[in-house]
Amino acid sequence: MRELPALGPNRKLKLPKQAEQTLDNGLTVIAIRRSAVPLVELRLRVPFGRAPLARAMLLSQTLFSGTSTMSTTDIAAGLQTVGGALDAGHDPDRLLISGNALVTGLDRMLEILAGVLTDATYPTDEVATEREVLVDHLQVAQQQPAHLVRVALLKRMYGRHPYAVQTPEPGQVKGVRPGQLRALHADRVRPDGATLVIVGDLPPERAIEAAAKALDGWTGLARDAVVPPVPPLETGPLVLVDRPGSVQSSLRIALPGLPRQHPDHAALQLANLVFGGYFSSRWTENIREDKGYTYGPHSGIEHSVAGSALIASAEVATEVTGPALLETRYELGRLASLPVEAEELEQARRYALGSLQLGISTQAGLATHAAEYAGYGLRLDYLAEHAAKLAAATREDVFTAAQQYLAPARAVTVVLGDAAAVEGQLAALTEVQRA
Amino acid sequence: MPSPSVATTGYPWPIETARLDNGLRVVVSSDRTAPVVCVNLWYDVGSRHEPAGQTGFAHLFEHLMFEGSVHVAKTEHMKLVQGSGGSLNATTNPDRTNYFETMPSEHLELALWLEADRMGGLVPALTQETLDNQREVVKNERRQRYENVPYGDAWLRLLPLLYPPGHPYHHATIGSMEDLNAADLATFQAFHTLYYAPNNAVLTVVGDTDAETVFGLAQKYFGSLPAKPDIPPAPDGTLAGGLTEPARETVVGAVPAARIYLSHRTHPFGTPGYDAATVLATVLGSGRGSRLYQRLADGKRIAQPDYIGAYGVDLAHAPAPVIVTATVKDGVAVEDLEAGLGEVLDSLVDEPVTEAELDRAKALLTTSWWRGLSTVGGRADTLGRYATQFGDPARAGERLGGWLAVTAADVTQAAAELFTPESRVTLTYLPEQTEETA
Repeated sequence: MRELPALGPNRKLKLPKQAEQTLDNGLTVIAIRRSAVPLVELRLRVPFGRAPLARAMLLSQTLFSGTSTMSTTDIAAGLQTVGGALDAGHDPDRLLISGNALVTGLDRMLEILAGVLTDATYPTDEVATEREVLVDHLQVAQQQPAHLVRVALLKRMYGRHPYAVQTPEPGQVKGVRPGQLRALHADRVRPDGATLVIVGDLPPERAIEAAAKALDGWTGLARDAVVPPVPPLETGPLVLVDRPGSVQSSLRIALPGLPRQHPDHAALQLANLVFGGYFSSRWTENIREDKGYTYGPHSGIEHSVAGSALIASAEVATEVTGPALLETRYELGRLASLPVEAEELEQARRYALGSLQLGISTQAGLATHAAEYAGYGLRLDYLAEHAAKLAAATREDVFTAAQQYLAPARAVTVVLGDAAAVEGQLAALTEVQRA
Repeated sequence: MPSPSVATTGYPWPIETARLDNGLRVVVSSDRTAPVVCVNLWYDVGSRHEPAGQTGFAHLFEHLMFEGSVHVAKTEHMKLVQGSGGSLNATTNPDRTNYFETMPSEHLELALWLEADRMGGLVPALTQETLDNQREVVKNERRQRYENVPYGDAWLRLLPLLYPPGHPYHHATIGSMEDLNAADLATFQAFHTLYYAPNNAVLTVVGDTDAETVFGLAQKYFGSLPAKPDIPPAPDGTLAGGLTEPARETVVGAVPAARIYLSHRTHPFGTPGYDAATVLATVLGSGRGSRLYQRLADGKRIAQPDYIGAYGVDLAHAPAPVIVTATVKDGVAVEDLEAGLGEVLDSLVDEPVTEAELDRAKALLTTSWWRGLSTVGGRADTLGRYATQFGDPARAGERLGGWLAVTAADVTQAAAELFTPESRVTLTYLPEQTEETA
């Protein structure tokens, strides 16, 4: 009676009904039916590679602050009338507009979106307000270790590549004028090459029709947004960033990643899970559950259009910074030198397959995945192919991927912490260079 | 607005219920849309049950539930759930403790087995070492979430101002460091024995399964656990109306700008009075279409646009609070912001809400309701709540209708009744005087 029930095999992935159409203006519309609740989720991905950073970030904050016929509160109130909201965010690859509303409000939400896309005015007083807010946020971020170590890591990984700097300096934001936002909008916020994803409780054809009708006035060619491929990681001394008095050290390790389409991607994903990709991983067992050096380490593959990387992160107590690095390198080395156990591979495989199922079980999850994949020229059917590869990967495949990509010899390491307290500990293990 | 067929109920999925001989209530809501299933347990025990000197115990106990049980070793619970592709968590609040796993539906049985093992077999696995380890984890959680974050302890400070000493909501769920340090193993063993019983829990399963399967598995794994007689009720939380004298506290600390929290006791969650308070809070402080935003962030420009709002905290066993908050813009005196907040609250009586304001608030609440139910996890937790707090999971279907039935006159009346100066709690954070640096 009290015995553990036998685990059956994971079920095959089932994908929902979808439709796709590229409109005359170059906008690709993907519509997916998921009738769980009477809502609709919307994602609009506009390529934004190589856009000037401070302007692009402020544009994402002020896109909804007014048109020639609507004030910022008119826009907010109009969306609220259909229970909705729209937001914009920016990264080095794209501008992403996300929102949701009652499904009966889809037409109204699209109408407001179209108004903003074709007629955003970036009013001077609203831009001034949002600029102040953004500068405040950036200044707060500059006091936070997670942000500071991220800045140092990107610089170390990417050198002169556009990905090397992903947040502007507060001073750069202060200098942005509304006219520059209008010019950037005219230049880059264009349907050509953009993807609109609509997921909700309505037939896909009806969603596409609504989008085509609302957005046919949005026109124009986009400027080339292609980001050059990222350079390979160059190994070298550990970079130590001083944060005097820090009670914890932020440890970051970058390793080569693989794009989603790569034949070894599934095997690398499994190797990463066994290493540090979820709670039941070797790294967590070691430095949290066994040694108590940290609250929670995590590693994951980060995808960008121009390249992928595997990044391992842990906040560790200052006095055990050296020992934590030692254990981390040990766990990476163990994976690169010895095959994983059959049972831990099965566990990681079931977790990966289950996460796929959970990830697309909601409207919001489906919309986010579909928009993300579209940025890489992929569609949801990629999930089925990926699931098959996860199911088929053998211990040898995972070992081969780990040997190649998780080898500590290939790691780029950055530590932010109280240098006076941690430099000696780290220098006992590897060459250290102050940032 | 949603189509009429949808608007008539806030829960348009099937609900089936059963009760095992040992008193465990089982709720099943089948939905075959996606191959996932959520298992959720509501235990009718929260921090309101804690006697003086034992604050934080219900929550610390929740942590211990992940540290192994009679057939499950330390860390194995997490491994088994994640290793079958699931995700899991648990939360404790003043009213109750909930535990939940969302799994690929083929692994439903594993989740039920794990929950049954820790409902029936936790005490033998509980050790001093585990308690000491999780006590440190919880103390770190307290530092990380409440002490080390600007304004992080606002909730901890509001509760004793809102509820009198001895009231079950007077203290916060996280508890005090002193009480956590004093926690001993025997107390936790007794805590489990007292409250973690099948007749004090609701098991809800939502998703890709059917009632017959779940009832069968529930009987198989939970059926042999004995019921416990004489589970003591929490202290009575009844309070007549709001405060009769205003309460005020000012905190000087490491915060980037002055911030004000205003709060009033309203009505218990689940009553028509609290439905009106919910709509009132939404009109007042939800998003950029709200009165607070339009008048103080946009109009007078004395509040920071990202940190202004109003919301209710859905507590069911005593009048629940509505909290209003705003942060000063650079160069604005905190007194001016407090006066501005007072004017906006008064305006709800003097300038009754318009139909447009009311429609927006209801549309926002409708979206938030459906978003809450868009996952099997959200649905399971909702059904568990209504089964536990109102004796019938089907009453979940009434909430959305309750909000939509609130009229403009109801909102005006609620504002007049609830937002009186004498019943107001005012908590103000002021930044420490720091030296000017270039």
